[in-house]
Amino acid sequence: MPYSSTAQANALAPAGPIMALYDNIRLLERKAQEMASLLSYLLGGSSVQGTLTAPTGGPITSAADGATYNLLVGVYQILK
Amino acid sequence: MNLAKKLMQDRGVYNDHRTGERRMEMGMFAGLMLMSVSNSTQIITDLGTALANSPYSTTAQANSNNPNGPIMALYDNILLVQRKAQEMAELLAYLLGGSQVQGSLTAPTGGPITSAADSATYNLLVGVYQILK
Repeated sequence: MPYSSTAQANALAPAGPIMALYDNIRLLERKAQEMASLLSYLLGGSSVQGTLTAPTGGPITSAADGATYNLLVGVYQILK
Repeated sequence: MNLAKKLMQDRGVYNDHRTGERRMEMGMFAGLMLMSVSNSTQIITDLGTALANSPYSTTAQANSNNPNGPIMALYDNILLVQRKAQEMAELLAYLLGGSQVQGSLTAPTGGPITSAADSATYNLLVGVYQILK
């Protein structure tokens, strides 16, 4: 921030897409944080992020749903 | 106390009496290495596979309805995580490619953020865009 004058001109060009650059990138970050928070509940049982490698305490467990657990942990880890 | 009992109590971690160092039993270390999960490189696809694994176990269903919480609709919450990832991909398609329709993942062009004018930001956003697929 601020982005280049080229980017700012592009973001306002009538040919579109007209976009608020900073706000849209912030929105992206918030969506990723919401994903992490949801996964924290599903895997760790809390909105507070604990261990990324082997979360426990949520409804989806390694023992009972191993394949689903591993897929979700793979996504959870990369969202950090 | 025998070693086996101590290993069970400490989950494979023990003190080396000769050096005083804390050590991990090799079998336990190998087990931990095998347990580690790789990072996803295709978030939307992996979440789709997790959704396809529904219905989840009776354990998961009981956990998700436990008064101690968190009480959660499992399938719907995983779907919500996937939708958020799809929304991110769509926003990035606009920022980098100028369209909601996803084009090239490796070198998108046509959006307001360009490689030529904002290369550091462009590279960061493309890195995120690529693993959302």
